[in-house]
Amino acid sequence: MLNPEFLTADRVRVDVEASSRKDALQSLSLLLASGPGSLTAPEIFELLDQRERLGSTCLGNGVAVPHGRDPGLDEPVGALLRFTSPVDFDAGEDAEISVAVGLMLPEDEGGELSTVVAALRTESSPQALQDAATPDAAVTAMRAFLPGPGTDDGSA
Amino acid sequence: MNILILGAGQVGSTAAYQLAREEANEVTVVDINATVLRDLQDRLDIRTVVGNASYPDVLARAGARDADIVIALTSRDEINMVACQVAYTFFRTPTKIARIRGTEYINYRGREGEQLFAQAALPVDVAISPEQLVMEYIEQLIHFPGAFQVLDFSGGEVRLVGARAHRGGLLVDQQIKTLKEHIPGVEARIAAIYRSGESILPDGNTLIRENDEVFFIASREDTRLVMNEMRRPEDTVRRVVIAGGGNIGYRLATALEQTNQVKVIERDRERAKVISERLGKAIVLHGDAADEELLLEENVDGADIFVAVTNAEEANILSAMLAKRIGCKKVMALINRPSYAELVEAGTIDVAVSPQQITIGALLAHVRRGDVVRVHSLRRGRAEAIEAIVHGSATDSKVVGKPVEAIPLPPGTAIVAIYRDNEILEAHHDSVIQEDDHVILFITDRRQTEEVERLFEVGVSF
Repeated sequence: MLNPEFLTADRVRVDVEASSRKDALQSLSLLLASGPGSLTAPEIFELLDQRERLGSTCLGNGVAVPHGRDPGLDEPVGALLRFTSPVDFDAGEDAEISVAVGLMLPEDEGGELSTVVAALRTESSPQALQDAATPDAAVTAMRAFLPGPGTDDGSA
Repeated sequence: MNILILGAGQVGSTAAYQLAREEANEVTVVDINATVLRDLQDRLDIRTVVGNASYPDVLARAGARDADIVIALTSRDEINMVACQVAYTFFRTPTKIARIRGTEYINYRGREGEQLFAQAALPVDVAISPEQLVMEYIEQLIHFPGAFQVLDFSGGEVRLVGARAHRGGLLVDQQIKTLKEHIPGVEARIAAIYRSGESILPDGNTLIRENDEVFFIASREDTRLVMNEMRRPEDTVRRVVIAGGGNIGYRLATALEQTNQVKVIERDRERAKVISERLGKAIVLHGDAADEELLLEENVDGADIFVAVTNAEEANILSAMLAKRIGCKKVMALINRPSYAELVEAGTIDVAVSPQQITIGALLAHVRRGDVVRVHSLRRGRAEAIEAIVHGSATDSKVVGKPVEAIPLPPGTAIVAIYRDNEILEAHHDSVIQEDDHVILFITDRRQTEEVERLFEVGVSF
């Protein structure tokens, strides 16, 4: 079960300029490195970049989910960027993104990635995230699309 | 991919041409020569920046901040190395490729085995030495005199060989499926056939005809066995004459002199003296390789192979033609210009060796989407053979768990072999692809490559 606390407002930026995929991944790495886990921003950037090369994490709806694995983590750590203008994230159609949700996952991740991907694939989530004007609003919007009640994850 | 090419020389321009024609790439070329860049920009859809390729501000202007890959191909090793360091330190460029001519930089090891090219030392991820690549390419061809191309996959365990079918080959005028009966138990497959320049995607019933250019895939050990299917077994090469004692010629002589009788013809007296002292068994002659009398005097007519590798391509063409005319069995020439290569190959010159095409292959593997580990550019860049590693499970891969026939390959493309657990497997229509397989594909029209690579990409949930 994904702890909704994976994303907190201190790791959200809603007015980011990024000139390329690389630039976007670097900004995301900086935020991810500020959370739990021992990896540095350049190390996280390298992991995100390598993963993108195996296949793009663009969902095709203006959102991408760059992610990597950090054996030092017990729980997923997320970060969110909302771009002021669309970023060309991958070649091909539907490759422009306006939101990136970055994730660092523990080695033995139990489906949290799929949970986040499913939430971001819902019809209204991309727009809701784009409309979020503040980090708090973005966190609330993200949590609203996760399964279970917003703050009570009903782990029992 | 956002690609920064430093240096617009022969290899740099070819790389720009090959990469810019792929829609997925944005290419910027940096050079100190504005005229060269203007010429290039007239022909290609690229950005150009004039300046010293190793200066941080020049790289910044060229968009290093957004570049996924820096390919440093200037004529100076040292500039290429510093450019990679600058790209890493200031821009965190993920992939840094440099042309390094001086193998001294590549091969030297410290007391603890330290290497110069490492993240903590000089951050060059891939050091490419065209001379070394060309030398290895020619060396392979000398081991297989019947082949016009010998290309490695899976760390050299699997080979793709191009050979022209000749009378005397067991498979000539036979259906391909009889290959199994001729050499039972050998995992080999005919990957592609070119007849009068046109590709035929073969099946079991296809007849091999004399003069067909046949590409087959086989394990390293079985290469010779399969080769005999295409042409009468040839004597192993004994006598090799090399025209040109430069980097390539000298290295080739070093690699061959223990097993062959090697003569090197070098024009420059000083250079001839230097390499003559360094080589053990090979004989070095000072003279002009286009001088018929010298060739006759040195019994080139009786040589098995004549290789012209001077830095003047016209001279290479001429001396190779001359050597062929006086009776040398097989001649090869180093030719840069693709149009020249096309003109002379299959005519008097048996093999035109193109340094750019060989180098480009080495570069392309790093620019591809998916986990493509090997790319060989074939037929002057029109076709490709690639090796991709399969990742993911049936849920997040488009190929895992599927039989070959269920994989929607674009037309003109075939999976020719699977390398699994250190063994080569023939790819049959019902062979099921597994995670970690190395899949080797032959793509007759390289414009399909992008679509092929997309098949090997993992899904979002991987």
